[in-house]
Amino acid sequence: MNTPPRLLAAVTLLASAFSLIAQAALPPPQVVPVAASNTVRNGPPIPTADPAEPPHPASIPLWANGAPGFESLKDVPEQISYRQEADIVFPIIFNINNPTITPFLPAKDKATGCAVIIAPGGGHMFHTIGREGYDLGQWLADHGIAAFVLKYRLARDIAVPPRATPYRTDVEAKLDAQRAVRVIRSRAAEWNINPDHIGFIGFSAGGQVAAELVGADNQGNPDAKDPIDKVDAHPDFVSFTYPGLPQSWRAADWTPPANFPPTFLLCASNDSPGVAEGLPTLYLALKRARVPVELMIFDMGGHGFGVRPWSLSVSMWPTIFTGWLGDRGFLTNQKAATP
Amino acid sequence: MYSSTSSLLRALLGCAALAPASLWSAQSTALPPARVVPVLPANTVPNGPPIPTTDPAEPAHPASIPLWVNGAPGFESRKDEPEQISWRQEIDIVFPVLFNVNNPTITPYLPAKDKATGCAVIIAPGGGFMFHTIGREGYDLGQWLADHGIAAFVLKYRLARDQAYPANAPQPYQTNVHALADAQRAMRLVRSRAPEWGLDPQHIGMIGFSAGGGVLGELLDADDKGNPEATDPLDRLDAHPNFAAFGYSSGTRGWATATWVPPANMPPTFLVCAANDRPNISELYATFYLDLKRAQVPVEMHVFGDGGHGFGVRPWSYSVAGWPNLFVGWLNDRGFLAKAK
Repeated sequence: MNTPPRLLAAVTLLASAFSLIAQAALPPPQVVPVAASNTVRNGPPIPTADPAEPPHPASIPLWANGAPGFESLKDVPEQISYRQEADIVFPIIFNINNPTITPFLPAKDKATGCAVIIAPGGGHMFHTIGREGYDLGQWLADHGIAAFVLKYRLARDIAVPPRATPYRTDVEAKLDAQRAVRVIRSRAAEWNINPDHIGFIGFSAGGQVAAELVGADNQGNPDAKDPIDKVDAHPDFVSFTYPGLPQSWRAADWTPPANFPPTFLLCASNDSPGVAEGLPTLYLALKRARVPVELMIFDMGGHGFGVRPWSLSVSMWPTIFTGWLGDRGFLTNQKAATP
Repeated sequence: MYSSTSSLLRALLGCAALAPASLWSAQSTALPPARVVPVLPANTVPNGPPIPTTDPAEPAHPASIPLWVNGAPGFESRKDEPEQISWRQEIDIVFPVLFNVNNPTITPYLPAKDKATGCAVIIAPGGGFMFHTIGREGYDLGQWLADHGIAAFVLKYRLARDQAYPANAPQPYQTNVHALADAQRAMRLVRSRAPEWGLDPQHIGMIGFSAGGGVLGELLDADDKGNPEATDPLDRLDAHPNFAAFGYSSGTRGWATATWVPPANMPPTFLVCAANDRPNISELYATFYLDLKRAQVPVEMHVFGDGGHGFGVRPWSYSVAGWPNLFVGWLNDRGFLAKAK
């Protein structure tokens, strides 16, 4: 069969484009056996099929040559396994040495100019990549919001024996969060994002990363060699979902760091007291410091609900979150309303 | 089983239609329409939206049912006194308010039978005990709930600072006596007619907005199980609600402080307000929630970033307008929208 020349040219072009993407593509995660610590008694059966990441756009390394000081580890594949909890089994990702963002971009005609970086939870041991990551990323993109799932480095990564990880939450994970904001802000024009409408949502352990980010000195370094490091890393809004908060934040006399951005707090009241009683306290501290804040505590939902198809009404929360973004002016391509 | 339930319902409805008892005849007694009175200076603000030149009117609504056939006990002589209606102007809205409430009533919004969940909500509007914000904290929510399968009953309780009286004039009613009695009677009346209205008598709750939340607080503090010796059969019934919801209200005196302990039998509770309401609501809510949670009362709380005081149900661009969905979602989570076994 003869192939028309025009089609052949198109195919050739496509193939070369594909090879370009493939060149930059990261190695697929390596499947590892389910660790005993990732099982519970009487949980749902663990599939015999290998765990796999849901299909997702290609991830973008935060640093082209690997994380500073850990360049030699940049080609080490991530690991993937199952985790079993009382009512759910799900894939988890760990062995993070080359931190990335995975972009979910909205259709141009729907795009609001708003961007959200998503830091999944997983106790700093792994990333709950589905319901606290890609699934929310896709949902936000469907609602006109650019989402970037951040695979930050893990301070208790289960790929290595306990206490053997070289990474710390308040150093490497924080740096990853800052770099993610900088990368997105530096590419705002390319991705149709308003550089002043870039926020950060953290789930559980990811909430602690959000706290480290908000508390950091996020000014860009004008003398940096890497132009990305010249960019401001402060998020324009932040959301803490059933967060693990730094110990200092829980003190009665805690006051929010300067320039604390508008904040959305979310949990279920049947979570552990540290969360279910900690968030109202955080709400009061923020409110008294005149930080615009919204606090949503669902009766039922426990810890780790993320976005999951569920009969419980807590599954409505993403709509409440985007409603709040709308109220605060982050979904219009204009400067946010001043509080 | 479903068909036997509906035949039971039909039978009960038939009884009700035939019964000559005084209780049912109340339904046919139309109340006098509210009398229009001039706008009080207390109901205006500088630079508010213009007050219409037309008379204020209640939105169309089902016939109200007096809580007592012969008028409120001790105030029977005032039962035919018309309510009063006027405009109230606030910074961004003008709305009709009702007052001079002497013959307390419930206004029933019943869902279509094929949608009915068996759940009922008594709605206590706000208005600072001076008037009833009858639209967005009353009838409008009643209609919305009925559209979502929930029977709603808007309660016009008696007002401790009723605007029908000149400022500082003595008032005949107190919240912890008369408004409380009205809330209890409403619970009993709805519970007594549960079969007729297709309700589960253990799925009847109350929502109170602002001052109406104070009335709900009194109801919960009283925790009145009914008097088995009462001559009026209604007064033998349990007046305790099966769930409680507070819209920008932290209950009644003494509630939601750091030392407050919820009353015995505090039912599952839903709290909603806005963070930019005044501190004795928007900050007290955190304590309210913690007090309930530590007493192991099931609780849900939504503090919207924007919404101020008195948002009720109103068509609005703010996301707080979505709160009724959260309320109904919570009722469902708690099993109140499932038909009784």
